[in-house]
Amino acid sequence: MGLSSYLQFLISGVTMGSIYGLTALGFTIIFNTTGIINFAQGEFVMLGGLLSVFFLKWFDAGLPLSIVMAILTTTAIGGAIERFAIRPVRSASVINLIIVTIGVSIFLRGLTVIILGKDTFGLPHFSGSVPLNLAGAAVMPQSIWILVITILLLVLLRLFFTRTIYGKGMLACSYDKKASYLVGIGVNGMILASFFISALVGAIGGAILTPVTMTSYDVGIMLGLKGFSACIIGGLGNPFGAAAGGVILGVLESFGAGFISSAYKDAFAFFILLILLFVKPSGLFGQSKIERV
Amino acid sequence: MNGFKKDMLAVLGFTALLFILPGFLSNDYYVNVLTLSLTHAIIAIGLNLLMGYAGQVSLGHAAFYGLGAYTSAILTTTYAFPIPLAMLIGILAAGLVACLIGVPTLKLKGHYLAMATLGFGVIVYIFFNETIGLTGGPSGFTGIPRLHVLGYTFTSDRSYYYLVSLVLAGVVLLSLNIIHSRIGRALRAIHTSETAAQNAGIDVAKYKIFVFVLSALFAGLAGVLYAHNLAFVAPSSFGFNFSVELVTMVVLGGMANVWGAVIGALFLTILPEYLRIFENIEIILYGGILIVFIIFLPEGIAGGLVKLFSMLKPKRDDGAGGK
Amino acid sequence: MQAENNILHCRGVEVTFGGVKALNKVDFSVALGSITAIIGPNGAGKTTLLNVVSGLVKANAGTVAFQGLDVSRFSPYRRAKAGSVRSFQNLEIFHNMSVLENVMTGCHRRIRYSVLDALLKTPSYWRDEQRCRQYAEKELEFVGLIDKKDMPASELPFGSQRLLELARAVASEPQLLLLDEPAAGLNIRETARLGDLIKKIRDEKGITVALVEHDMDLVMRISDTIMVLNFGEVIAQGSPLAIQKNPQVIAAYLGEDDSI
Repeated sequence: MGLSSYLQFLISGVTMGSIYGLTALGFTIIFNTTGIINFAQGEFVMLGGLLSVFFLKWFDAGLPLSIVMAILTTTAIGGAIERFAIRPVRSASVINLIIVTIGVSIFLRGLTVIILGKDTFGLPHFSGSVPLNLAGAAVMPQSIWILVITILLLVLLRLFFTRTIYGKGMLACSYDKKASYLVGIGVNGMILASFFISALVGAIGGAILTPVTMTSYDVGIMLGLKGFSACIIGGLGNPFGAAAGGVILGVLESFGAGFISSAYKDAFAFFILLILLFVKPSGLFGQSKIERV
Repeated sequence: MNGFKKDMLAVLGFTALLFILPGFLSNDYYVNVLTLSLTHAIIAIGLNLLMGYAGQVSLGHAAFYGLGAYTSAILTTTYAFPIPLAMLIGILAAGLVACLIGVPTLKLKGHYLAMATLGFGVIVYIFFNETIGLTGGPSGFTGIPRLHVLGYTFTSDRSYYYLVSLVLAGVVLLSLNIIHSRIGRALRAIHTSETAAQNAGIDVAKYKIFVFVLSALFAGLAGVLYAHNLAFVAPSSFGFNFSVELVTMVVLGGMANVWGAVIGALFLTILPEYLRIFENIEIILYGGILIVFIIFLPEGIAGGLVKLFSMLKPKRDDGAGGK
Repeated sequence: MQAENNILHCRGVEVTFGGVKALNKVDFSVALGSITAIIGPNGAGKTTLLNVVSGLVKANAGTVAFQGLDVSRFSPYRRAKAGSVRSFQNLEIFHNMSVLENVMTGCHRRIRYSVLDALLKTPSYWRDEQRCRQYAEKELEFVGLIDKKDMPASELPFGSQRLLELARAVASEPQLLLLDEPAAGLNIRETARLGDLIKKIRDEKGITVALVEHDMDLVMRISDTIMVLNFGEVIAQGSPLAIQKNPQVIAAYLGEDDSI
């Protein structure tokens, strides 16, 4: 296998990995503010893509507008979830919290089935689908879009969390909720915001990925699980780790599929997840304790 | 004593009810639906012990169901094992795998545990799907012989129904016996406060694994019953969706109540038969049930009924102080 | 202090939490058959010490010896098995059980029939369950809660829940009982009853008691030995009278106002 094959695997790995990273980032933001793992995170990614299709087809809104509306709608859904499904049970036992977010994930999927059916849909590539040639490897322009947008998002989020008052407030919540509350930071608002942002990030990921992989009502499950794996790889609670973990997972998966077997591709992510959970749950860069919740 | 007699009576009454039920059913198809729901109830009871009493979440229990089913199916069909032996091996296989992955998994807590069981379930599902030579892959595994033991073959749907009813009754009784014993107390203690349970000299790790393996054995038992009834198994029955259905059954029925598990399983297996439009609203219904029940009725139907009865009972005056 | 007379011996215990030294080279012993109190201003490290002794927190340095056995690496479960049982400041009663069942759970190690016995309801099971119930009822009588035995534990008033936790702890027949602020939230009458009960636990059951406590009246009244912690260090250890007169102890509690 020549260099171009390696490069091919690497590029497709980084492409998927960026989305895993964005999904993982969504998990991390909510986890950091609430200590909850939002099982519905994958559905935000699914909704980003599927709603873009919906607005494009049914409203004929043109690609950019459809995507924007899809992202806004998903963000709103994220907030609604927090307000109506999560907040009532925030102080419940861990097992109940887990079940609620699973319920939300299923509910969203079910809603999508009713409105859009079970078909698979695609989105047009942002700038055409003619592959570019990079040292013998074929690179879809969409991959470059994905990479650039992901990096942009990461930079913006970092600026938000470290430079803006609101972002810093959310970070404070993640370190110590009670203390934040006592100094006047509206914890409820912060938690709501974290759901908004996670939904936003997930939706963007879904929208930019759909031209490459198509989308349907059940892509959220796998994406969510792999996003969570990425979180664990990078250390749950660590945003940088989440993004890095996503890319690492994407690349490992790509090479694994290329060299070992593509049938078991999906299993790789879970093998890695299980081994990490058993051996080093704090991940590569992690500091949070395993029993966090 | 009193508690045990109550349990025994309830189980006997339940069994009697199950036995006369087919008399009201005109069609063997409905009997089959009932059999399937009773099979699901067996798994649900085990999962209920795990979730409601030991407080551990499993999002991959369909895997144990599938392991039992496929093991027995393959042994009897491809390798011509005698059916009872194959069934036993199938059950034990589920238990063994539970033991192997239980030890590292149960050291995890909360969401980590949930994800690990999810990941495990998906891996097993992928295995069923991809090892086509062994399992027949996505199109399934056919030709499984109907159960026959001691010269008697369970050819009719009704005879199989009675068999599964008896097995379920046995599982219910065993579970009740465990709950009403020091083991049940230990499990309830672990559910409330692992720290305090350890302090009382309860080996928390050991009990978690015990319940996990037990719940896997129940699932494996259900699996072997399923395989030799349907004569056909496919990976789609043992995936994440079914694992979630199982969790929903337990939540719906009531997490710390053996009868709740039975109620939940019956409800969620039989209901689809009456909602012909169920196909499309199935998914949203499960999600809705989970959300609504956890928010408004976390103790499930059974728990709700128990609360209702205790509210209706006249309050005894406790003389010595009561509240 | 002679080693043979000490049921508990902590040597050089150090605990650091993210840069803060909660315990610094703590040497601390509890004499067999005594009631020993650990006192000190807020944040002195008392509960941390108790957590190290009971195994909830692993010390960064030093050893904990219980009945001559090095238990430093033991999990809380193994320590409980060895005979060192504690109560919790925030009460960890089992609210999904009745009062009696809580104490029967405490008897978990005393009465041990097998899973098979439970599954098949053998005569062994019936006999042992009966014994377990009797033991539990005896302990409930001991703390004065027998008339509430079938109540759901969560419905007990706070003071009674504290007694329940004591009954449960004592039901496992430990050699050492560690109490974490047992008088917290109790009124004067309840605290007095508690003091009598702790003495009864030592006198009638032969259980050594070590308690972390803020209530000075209680401490002075029932303790044989008092150890004082301040900023994670032992500043005094001795009889109640000696401690009351100890200038360092007084300074620690009143603060060093004249050092400005």
